[in-house]
Amino acid sequence: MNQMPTMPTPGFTDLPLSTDIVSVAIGRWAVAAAPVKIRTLLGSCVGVVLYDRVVKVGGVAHIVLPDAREAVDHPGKYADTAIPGMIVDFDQRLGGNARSRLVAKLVGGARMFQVPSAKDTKAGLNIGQRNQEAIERILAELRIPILARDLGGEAGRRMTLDTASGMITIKVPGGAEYEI
Amino acid sequence: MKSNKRLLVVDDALFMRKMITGVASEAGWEVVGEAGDGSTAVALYQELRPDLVTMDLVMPVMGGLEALRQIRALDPDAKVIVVTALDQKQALMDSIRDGAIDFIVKPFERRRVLNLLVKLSGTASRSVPG
Amino acid sequence: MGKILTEVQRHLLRMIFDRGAEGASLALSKWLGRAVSLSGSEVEITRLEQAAELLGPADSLVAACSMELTGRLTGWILLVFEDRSGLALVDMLLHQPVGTTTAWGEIEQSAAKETTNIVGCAYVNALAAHLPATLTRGTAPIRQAESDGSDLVPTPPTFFHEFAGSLLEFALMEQAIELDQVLLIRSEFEAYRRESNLDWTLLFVPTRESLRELIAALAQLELH
Repeated sequence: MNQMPTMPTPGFTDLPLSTDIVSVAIGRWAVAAAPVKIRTLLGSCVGVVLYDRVVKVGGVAHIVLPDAREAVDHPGKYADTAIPGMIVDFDQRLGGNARSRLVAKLVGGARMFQVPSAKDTKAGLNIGQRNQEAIERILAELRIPILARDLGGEAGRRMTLDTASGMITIKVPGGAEYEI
Repeated sequence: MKSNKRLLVVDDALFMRKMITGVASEAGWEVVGEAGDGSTAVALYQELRPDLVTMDLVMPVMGGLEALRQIRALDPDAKVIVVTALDQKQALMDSIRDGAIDFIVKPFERRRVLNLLVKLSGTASRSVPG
Repeated sequence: MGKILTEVQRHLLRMIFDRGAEGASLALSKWLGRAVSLSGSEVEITRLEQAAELLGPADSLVAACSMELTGRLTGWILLVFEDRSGLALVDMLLHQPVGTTTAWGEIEQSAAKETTNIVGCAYVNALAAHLPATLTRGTAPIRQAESDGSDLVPTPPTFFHEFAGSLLEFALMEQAIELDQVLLIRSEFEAYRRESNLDWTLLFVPTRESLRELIAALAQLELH
């Protein structure tokens, strides 16, 4: 299997050397080549999947908030730093401008609890929806098409990207698995 | 002559309604209706005119205090016992002010509720014409 | 960014929430008709990323009942348990051998929810009596609380299954929107008898507004 060594970047999890499953924690991202699978567990956070169908390299970012504003650390947490950061990893791996070949899929953005306080109407009751909007805007600016979405609802999702196929398997509590 | 031991049980938990029904039956009360929220409770009260109501406080749609007020408004003689896990000052004061005849805290001692219901069945005084 | 509260404040917070846990364990013992032991309250402060593992492996499936808290303290009360423990509780309430109930039907879910109502209310009943007086009378809740005075009033409970990590992410997200570190208070319940398998976790997740107010009130207590 052809593995290109890369410099570790903030948010990047270790390069897998075998066909195991790489887990992505909240506020992190990972990029890996086929046949590795990349998995993350989502609640209101949105999982952004980027995939290069030609080279069969995929990445998953577990995004918590729409924009970093002044924050300089933990770029994986924010849509406006995680997505560009993940694309830099693709470029480094593939030695060039990967962006033109990338496609995206979005998973997560659910909402289980309402906020009890009425004061907080702006900041964020529906953080899942705000994340989705920010991510779609960023991907549109980067001209990366979104091929599929599994967003919203009230339950958590465990998603697994198969970098060999670009398909995402999703499991919800008490439900059967399905693919997008 | 109409029986004077007709009870309406109001609680959003099916499990608790069954529990209260069990105690009430042992005390000689007939449960003529059950409601899972305050709005249904008011509607059933109007329809059934029970001799007694047990009323939970924390319920969806409409809570027990509002239901208590509405029931007492449509029937100033309505007898309502509040049965709740919410044992705090405002809940107690509001229940008293809004006309509840007793305030039972969950989890309750079965014997205590049994004795209360027995006592109330003896003194229920709904006068029936004819 | 500094710690969100000092060690002394953390200790004071524990002491207050221990009163809640004590009230909850007394109520649960009475409700079950058997002694229930309770670990003291732990104040957990972590980054959101680490919080996913607080209830064990993030992708383990748990059952849970939740209530929102309204009034001068706001947040969420969660009772979390494995199916086995939850169904064991139902057996105890129905006075049948543990292991009899194997599925979450309507009455079983209702039993779990009512238990959450009783435990959650007992918890906040005790908190209401022990919170610092300087806590304000609370923000206006989205849903009108039953009483608009000083009471702490939970909403009716819901019952669901969820991945442990997702559940924590949902509950802590309101804090995580602004805070680098998130805080929750947890207590563990267990029945004395070995075969009972009653391992429940009680979590209280304050909103960030309540967290700020609690910390401010504790800081004032420290000064005296």
